[in-house]
Amino acid sequence: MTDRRDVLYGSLGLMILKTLEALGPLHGYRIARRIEQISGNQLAMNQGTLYPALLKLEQAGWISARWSESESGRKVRRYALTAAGRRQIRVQAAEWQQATGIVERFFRIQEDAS
Amino acid sequence: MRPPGTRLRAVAARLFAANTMEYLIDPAIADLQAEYEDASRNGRTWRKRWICLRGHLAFFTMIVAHGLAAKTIDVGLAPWRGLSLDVRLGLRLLVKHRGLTVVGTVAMAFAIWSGIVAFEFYTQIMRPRLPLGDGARIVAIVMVDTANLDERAPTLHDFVAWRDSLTSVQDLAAYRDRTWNVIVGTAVPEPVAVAEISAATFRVVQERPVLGRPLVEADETPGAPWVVLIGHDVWQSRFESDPNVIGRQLRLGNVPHTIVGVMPEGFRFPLAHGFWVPLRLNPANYPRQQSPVVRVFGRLSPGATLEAAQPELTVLGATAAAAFPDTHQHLEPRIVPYIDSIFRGFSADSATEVFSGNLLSVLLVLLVCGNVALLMFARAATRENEILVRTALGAGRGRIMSQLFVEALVLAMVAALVAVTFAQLAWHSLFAMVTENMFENRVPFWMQSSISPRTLVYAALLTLVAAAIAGFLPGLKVTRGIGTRLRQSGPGAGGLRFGGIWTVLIVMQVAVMAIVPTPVIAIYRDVGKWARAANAGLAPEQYLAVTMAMDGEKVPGAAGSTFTGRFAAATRELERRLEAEPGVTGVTVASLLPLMDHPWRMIDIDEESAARGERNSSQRLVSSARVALDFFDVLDTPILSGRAFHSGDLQPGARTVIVNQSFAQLVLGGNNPIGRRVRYRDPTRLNATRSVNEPWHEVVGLVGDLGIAADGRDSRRARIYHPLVPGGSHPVRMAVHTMGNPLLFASRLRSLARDVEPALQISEIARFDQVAAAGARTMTLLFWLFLALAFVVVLLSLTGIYSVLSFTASQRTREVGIRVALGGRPRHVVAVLFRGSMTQIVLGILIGLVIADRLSEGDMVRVIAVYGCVVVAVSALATLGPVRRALRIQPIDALRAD
Repeated sequence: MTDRRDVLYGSLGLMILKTLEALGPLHGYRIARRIEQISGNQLAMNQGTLYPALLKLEQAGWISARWSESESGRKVRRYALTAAGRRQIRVQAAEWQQATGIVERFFRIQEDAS
Repeated sequence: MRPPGTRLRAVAARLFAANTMEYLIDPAIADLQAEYEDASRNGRTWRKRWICLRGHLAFFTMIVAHGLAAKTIDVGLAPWRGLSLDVRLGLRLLVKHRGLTVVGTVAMAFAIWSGIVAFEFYTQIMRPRLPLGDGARIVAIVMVDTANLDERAPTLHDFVAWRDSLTSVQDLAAYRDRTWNVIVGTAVPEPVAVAEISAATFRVVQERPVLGRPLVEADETPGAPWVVLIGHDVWQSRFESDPNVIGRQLRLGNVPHTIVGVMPEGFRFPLAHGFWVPLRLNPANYPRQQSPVVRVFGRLSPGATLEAAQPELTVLGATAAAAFPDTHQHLEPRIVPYIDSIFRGFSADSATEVFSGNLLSVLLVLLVCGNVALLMFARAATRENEILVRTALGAGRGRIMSQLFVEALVLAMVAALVAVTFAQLAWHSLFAMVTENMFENRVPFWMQSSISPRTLVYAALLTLVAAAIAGFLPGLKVTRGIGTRLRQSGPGAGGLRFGGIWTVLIVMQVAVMAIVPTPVIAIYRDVGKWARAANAGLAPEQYLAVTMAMDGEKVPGAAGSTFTGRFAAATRELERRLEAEPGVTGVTVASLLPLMDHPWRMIDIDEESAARGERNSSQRLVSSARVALDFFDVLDTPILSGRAFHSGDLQPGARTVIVNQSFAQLVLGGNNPIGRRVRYRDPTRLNATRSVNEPWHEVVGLVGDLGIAADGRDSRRARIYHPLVPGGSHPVRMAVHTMGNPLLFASRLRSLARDVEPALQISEIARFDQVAAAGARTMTLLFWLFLALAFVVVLLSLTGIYSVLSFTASQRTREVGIRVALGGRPRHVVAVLFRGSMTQIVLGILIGLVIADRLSEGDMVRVIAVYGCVVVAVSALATLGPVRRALRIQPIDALRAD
């Protein structure tokens, strides 16, 4: 069964992977801020969904994580993209294009009918 | 301060497996703290709060929504498994009857909340326990003046005499409370509380330093090196938890002290101290009349009790009174538990008050739960069918009762959760208020700003009581005679009835609903008065208020100049430098600033009227302040008539004052105050008609009211201003008029003060409107409390009305059917059906309105009349649903209802 949370996870995972690809290793709070920034602040990043998503990506082997120091010298967990993660971005990007393409067609049907 | 999320992490660490912590919770909390630190550096308070709130919310979302579901996370708890059928049914009913859930939760939560807050207040403030080893045996000795029953602290001479001869108290110790500037390295000096304390203290409290050594008797000998023991907080915040801190130096005032030890975390004996220095007072250096005042405490000897120790002490007191009648004739030493010596302001009366407050909150729980029971009963009545079937299938009365109890328990637990959350918030503000008013913002070491575990246990008990009332009462009623009902008929036949008690309860409740807005409106008016006070006559957001004091001793080079002279010089110099700062448009000083609590005294006006002894017209309570010559100028308050102060007013014997408009109105009945003379009454002789020793003051000017609301009958808003001689007030308050946000100026002010005089203590920097008297905050809190109470009462009443009518309709289905079948008109049927209930409601409203009118002394007739109409209208609305439902009943359905 596919529920809304899985869909959210899917797109959130891709967003995280793309963020890490663009900016290199980051900790959770920076990832959240970056996603909000890129979305033009249309997404309000709930950290309650972020960390489980990060854990899921880590368990899939797409990102790696280790404890290190932040710019202000505080201990934070920093996440980085793995090689598998890089491949996954390409796979997911293709799937995403395909999925949005399909949905797009349905909209066109409606427009044609009207 | 502890970084946010620390406590949350500690709780989570107990609940979750190590993996969960490592991969999920720790990263989230680390980020929360990093973000919080960033915001702290930018110094935005609202942003920090927002981050904390969001972080905590996210944490709970994560745990609830994801943590429990994710297979990979070993949660160690499976909350939904193994719950009994009853609990699941209870949960399902919460969702099904949403209205009852919301109303029941809000009402019960409010009742439990008030119980928690009252209990916390009682245990933490009225009857606290010392968190020290065997703390109940730590006692204090105070002096009671038998002439006027005043309590006062003993002197050094008393202490030495007791120490040498008391046997029922071992290790008698003493301390003096000092405020000195502490300077570590090159940091900005900051006033701190220092305890000058006997070495014996550390045997009394039975605590050892975590590093180094405690103070010892050798430190008390004159000429020994100056040493200091520091608290754990101080060690962490000022010395970065340096393990080699022993032997390092810090300055208290201008005297360097060597650190000899660090006390354990949480140790802040005797009150809220972080620095302890040896008490080096030799009685031989002081004549008996000038003996310094100290506070004396000790530990009861093994086997001794307070009762047994008192006679021994009384004998010592009598000996002293005989030997030194001039100082000790009326003094009697008393031995009391340590905490009682600090809460001197609390009398037995206020303890009773708080106890009855507790009792009231328990009554509130009972009352509210009785109401919820009514709602639950109405719900149970609609489920009569289900209950009958269960009975038919063999469920005993106990089984059905326990089901209803568990349903109520589920509801009560939801309410308790809400209550605890809000109680935490309320306790924070109450705690801040108490520590501010009673301890001048210092938090006594035995007080906690969070709800104690004991109170949580109490809350759990209240929850059980609530569930018992809301579950068992309806259970008893529903199951009574159930066997007979089972044999006779089905639901809808009118087997269940509200009894007389319920009827009275409903009438009373509607009455209370009608009364409740009266106190709320009265308090609202008072709050409004306070709010207006903040803006009366000045622009508070443009001013910075600062309190300044100076170390009294230990200032080198002090010889030759008096303390007052040095303080005046330092204040003047700081004023001069501040005025030279860009962005500062004026600086002035006063003994008290507008919006602060002012002391008040009785006065006489003019010799003639005083001589006639016209008590009511010529004696008034007025507040007073001493202000610098340029005070009104800097606060932009024009002199309305007469003149401003000038330097001539500072001459000895000048005795001139300026009064405010309220003074002219209230005290002089609107007459011109210029040239009138006023005199303070002797405060010790409130009832005497003459006060010969106090001098007369001449009124030379009239100013507008500053920081005082324009209405109100209290004559204390009449204020007299005296000219302030430089250095004549210690501490002194400074008002700085700035362009832009005055708070941005705070750090600059501190560094200027350090340059002027390192011993100058700067504290309580705040914007004028934040200085508002504590009374305003108390009133606001009270207002919200009453508003919440009013809301709960109205909510309960309306749902009560609704459920009573619904119940009536559901119980008389068959009757309606018959009436309609026999040709009864809808209007008549409804009238017959609801006549009884509507009578109760109208009766309740009438009783309530009459009482409300009495309470407000006819002050709010219009408000009450309008509110009465609203109550009737809303009650009518609440009847709408049940009436429509009754009318929709078809005769055939009604008769088929068996």
